[in-house]
Amino acid sequence: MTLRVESVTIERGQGAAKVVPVRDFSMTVETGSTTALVGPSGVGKSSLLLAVAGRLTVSAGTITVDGADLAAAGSSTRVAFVAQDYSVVEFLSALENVMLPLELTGVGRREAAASAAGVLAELGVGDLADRLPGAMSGGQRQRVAVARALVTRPVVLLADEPTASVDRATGTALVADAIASNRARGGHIVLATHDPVIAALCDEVVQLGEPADLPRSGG
Amino acid sequence: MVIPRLARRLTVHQFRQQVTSLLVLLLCGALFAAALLIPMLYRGVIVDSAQAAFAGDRYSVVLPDGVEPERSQLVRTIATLPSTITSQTGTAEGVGHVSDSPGFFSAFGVTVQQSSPAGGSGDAPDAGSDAGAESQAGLRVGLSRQAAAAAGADLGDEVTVVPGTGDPLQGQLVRIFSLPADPAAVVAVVESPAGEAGRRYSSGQELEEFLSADALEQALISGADSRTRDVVEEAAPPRLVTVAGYGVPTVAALTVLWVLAAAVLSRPVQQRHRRSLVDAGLTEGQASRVLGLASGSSALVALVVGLLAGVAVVALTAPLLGPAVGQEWLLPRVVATAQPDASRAWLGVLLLGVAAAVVLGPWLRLPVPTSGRWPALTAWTGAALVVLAAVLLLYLWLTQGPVPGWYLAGVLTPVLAAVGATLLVSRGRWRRGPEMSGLDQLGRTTRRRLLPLSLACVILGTTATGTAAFLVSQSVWGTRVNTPLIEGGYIDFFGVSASGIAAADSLDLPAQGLSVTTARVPDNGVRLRVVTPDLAECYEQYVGADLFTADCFSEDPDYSTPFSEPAGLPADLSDTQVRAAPLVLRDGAVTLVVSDEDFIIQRVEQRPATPDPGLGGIYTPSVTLPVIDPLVEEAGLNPEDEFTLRVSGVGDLSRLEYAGIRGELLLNTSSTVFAEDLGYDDDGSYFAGVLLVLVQTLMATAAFLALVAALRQERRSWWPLTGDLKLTARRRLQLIWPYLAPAVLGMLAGAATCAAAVTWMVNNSPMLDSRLVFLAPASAVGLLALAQLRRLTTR
Repeated sequence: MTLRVESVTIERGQGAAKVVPVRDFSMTVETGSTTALVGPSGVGKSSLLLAVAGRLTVSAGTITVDGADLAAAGSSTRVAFVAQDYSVVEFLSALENVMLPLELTGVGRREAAASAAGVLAELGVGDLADRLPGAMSGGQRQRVAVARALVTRPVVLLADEPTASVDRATGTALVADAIASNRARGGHIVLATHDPVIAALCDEVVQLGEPADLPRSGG
Repeated sequence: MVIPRLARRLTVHQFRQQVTSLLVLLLCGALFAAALLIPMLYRGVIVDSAQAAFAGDRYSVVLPDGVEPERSQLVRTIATLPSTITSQTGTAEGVGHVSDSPGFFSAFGVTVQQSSPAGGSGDAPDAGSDAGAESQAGLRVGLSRQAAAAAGADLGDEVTVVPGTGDPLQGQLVRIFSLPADPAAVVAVVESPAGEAGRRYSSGQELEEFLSADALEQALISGADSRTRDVVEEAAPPRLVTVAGYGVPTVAALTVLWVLAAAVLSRPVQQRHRRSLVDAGLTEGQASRVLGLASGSSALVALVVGLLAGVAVVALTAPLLGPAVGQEWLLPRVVATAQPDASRAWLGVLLLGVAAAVVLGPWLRLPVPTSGRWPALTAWTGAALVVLAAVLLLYLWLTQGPVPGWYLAGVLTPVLAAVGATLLVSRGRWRRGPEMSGLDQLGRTTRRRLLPLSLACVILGTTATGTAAFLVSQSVWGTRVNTPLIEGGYIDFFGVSASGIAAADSLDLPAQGLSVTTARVPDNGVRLRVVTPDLAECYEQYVGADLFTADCFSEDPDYSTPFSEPAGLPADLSDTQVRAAPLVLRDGAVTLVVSDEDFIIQRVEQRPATPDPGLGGIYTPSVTLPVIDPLVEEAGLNPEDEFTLRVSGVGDLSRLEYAGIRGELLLNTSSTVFAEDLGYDDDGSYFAGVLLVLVQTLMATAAFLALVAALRQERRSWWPLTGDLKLTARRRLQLIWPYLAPAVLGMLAGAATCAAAVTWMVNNSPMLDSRLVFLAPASAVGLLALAQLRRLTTR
């Protein structure tokens, strides 16, 4: 499967407050690959991810998976999203957090629990299944968030600076585990990052904005 | 299934994370329940007894069996009557008369059984205990609590009732009712036997005919309703019940405000939850449902638990609280039938308000004015207030003569203070908001978190001072225009014969700490009125005019007297001094308005008089004239053989002692009409107002503290945020002060009003009469709030 972003323009705000963070942008992501979006703040990385996730409407252009419009492709081309500040549901345990997307698609509780426990174990937080997010470290919460994103075997996993709230070592291990887990499932990963080490883990690095604006190179 | 489960989990989570907010809401629910229940408990008793008293259920009033012989003289019926029957003379039994004086007046008729029935020693009078009882199986009997206690009877028991006249009756005890006005009364109420619907055990023929007419039954019931309203709304002692009654809308408003403030303040948390749910795969709509269900459930659970707790506490403590305040409260059994419409309405208002606050709170955005007209608006508002005050003073001056200085100060000072304070905070460097101090993000955070709280406190303070203004001014007015209370309460007996006076003397009441005053009643004293000397000049303008058209009644309590009272004659006809109630005396003199048979004012004259604290009241003379006074003959004040007897100090007696003395006096004086004031302290209404203000102020303070505590629970609370930014204490104060100022002012306004009310009350200051004085803090707070709102939302 190929994720294709073609000539996408994104506008936000109205009137005098209107900004265009992404203008006529294109990229292609192949099956099983991981793509890093790099660029300075405000260049449109998050907007682009939100657009791919369907949470922002593009003003122009198309986003397709194997030629089918992503927004109209239905559950067979699921998109999962991981935010930078480990936005797990505070009032659910780690296991319940990961079960939630499955249950929303109609999977039974027992089956969902088994799947969720497996993904949590893959990401190294299997022993935290019953723990609430408030009792976890930032890195652990982010692993739960990634597990929640991966559990539905999404076609596209979008991660908006997933390591921004954790230290580099933790972040690197987290992304490495996520990439490994995703490859086993055959999905795409598109992540936005400022960290060249994280970018270096990815199969492809896509530059947004002027290269001179990059805080660091190497990705 | 997922959405409800998520909502349940979030609800539980909120109970853990927002303990303070939900505890406050729970407390609000409990207070609301108490405020709603207490007046209903009291009203329930009155309705219950009024229905019994008025034969609304076709009951007859009879003497109960099983009453101890030594207490038989206390036995009375409670035939409360419309004011159309004011006197039943020449009978051994009589009827009570309802007085409209302030304070709590008993309102029941009296039937005295002169010959005690062979009542036994208080054992339960079960069937067959009286060999001579005429079996009337199937009758339903009601007993007052006191009667039931004396007889040891309980619901369902077969009892035999021995009436004052007629045959004993046997029936089943189906009702035990309370008498709020006289808990010590021993009363039995028996359903009229079939075919004898009008049967009454009163020997007063006129009374019996009146009561027995079936056609009047509805009128009697209507009268009962009316009487109940009167008692509750006008004559009930203004203490805990009144305060609680006023508390219902206050607590309801406070609850809604609290939920709204909590909803606004928790918006960041809700947004965090929303985003996490959406990230987990929920749609925006599903996330909204989860959040709405959880917020509504949390609020509802806390509120309902609070309501139930309030009901339970009131129900458990009612038997202790009621007697503590001199009242009898019935438990919710009566509440259910007392005023269900009112309770449902208030509960509905509360729940709707809470629901609206839950729904609207997260979406509420604070207004940001776009025009720069505020300084002009402030100036115009201030100018309008000054003009309004000037017009008011001019009106007073034109209609009532020179305005006293204190009134001027009372009106102008707070207005000017409010305007000055508003201008102060609207101008200069004070006008600079936190957004203008270079800390935009922090300023917005501060505004979002503190502005709702600030406004809530302002509203509470305004409500507190407004309520205080109403309560205090009303109570002052009510106290000053009516009869001053005789210390310790009193009971007046009217139409007492000379032999009755002698019999009363024989009781040696002074030995029991009571004082007795008697005045002879003239046969047509209505032609002679007594007023304070301050009104003499006014009445002189009406010489030659109809007495009833004289418009000399000032709203100033200092000049107000019950000027329509008849002057009496001294009980001792050899008395040669003019005696007067202290209220009508000025510098040792009273003013008498003399009219002819057609009530045309003939002249106005002053007489020196000596004060007599036993005189004065709605029905007792304010002045007694010696029989040798020329006015006695001129006004036709021929002494009759009837007297008015006042016994003072009865309020210090216990209920039972008082009932005993009253019974003795009724027996011995043959009086048929009496009015009593058991010494309920009218000044209590001052304290009621003050108490209410204090409660509201405390609640506002509690809300403020709870909000501060809630903010501290935030992960990124305001204080740590300012600490992270290395702000100095001065900079912190600069940020937070604009929000705290109106909040603190709102709370202090209530406290200041309390202090002023207490101080003025102790000194009997005329300032108490000016509602404007009490309303002024409210207006000042309101103006300041507007100024702050503008300033805080200016970017």
